[in-house]
Amino acid sequence: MKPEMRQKLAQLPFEEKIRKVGELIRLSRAVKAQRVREDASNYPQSGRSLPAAESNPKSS
Amino acid sequence: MPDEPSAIPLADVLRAANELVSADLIEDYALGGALAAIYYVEPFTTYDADIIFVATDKTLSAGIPAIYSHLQSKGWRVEREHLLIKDFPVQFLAASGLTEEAVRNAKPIEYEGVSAKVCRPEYIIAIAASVGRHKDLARIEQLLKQAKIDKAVLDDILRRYKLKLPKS
Repeated sequence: MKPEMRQKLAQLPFEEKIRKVGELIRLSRAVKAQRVREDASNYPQSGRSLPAAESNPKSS
Repeated sequence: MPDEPSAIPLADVLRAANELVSADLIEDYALGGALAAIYYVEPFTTYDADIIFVATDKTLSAGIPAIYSHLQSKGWRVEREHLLIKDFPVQFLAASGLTEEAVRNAKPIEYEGVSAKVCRPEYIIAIAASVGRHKDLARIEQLLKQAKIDKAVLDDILRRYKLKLPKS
């Protein structure tokens, strides 16, 4: 982001900035949740099957 | 969506801190840490609020058990080193030395109709320099770039507390 844009954001009213922080937190949580869902669908039984698969690459 | 309430219940936090002053459980307080920095710089992600307080109780406990008990009676929950209000973590940090001076010299503000105080940028920088984690150094750089800093005040604080700013 350009420094002028960042400076503009710095000059927003405090209430507005706190609302934006809230949005950043929501976004960050949504991204994390999405990542967890993707991991779960890519490795549905990762807890048990991965170690076996890793220890014997020919097994998959 | 201007009417949507903030995900960060900062007004509730500040109202509670004011109640602690009224109940004589703390003498004074100011918003510190990342949220105080955000008062002066662009918004960035942070997951908790720091309330720096001057204790009424001058013993080693700094009256923390009474503060926790008061807030828990108002529905706050305890989770490790944080107190939670509406699932938002808040840390109450007893002030001494530099942080006490930061509270005494904090800037009065109004937040959503609640009177409060926020640490001045010169003190946020000095406190960050005294802590010195990576995120503190980033905060110093951001404040120096984006906030109006009284250089004489900052230099005086740094000199008195024998602190140095990181070389950029």
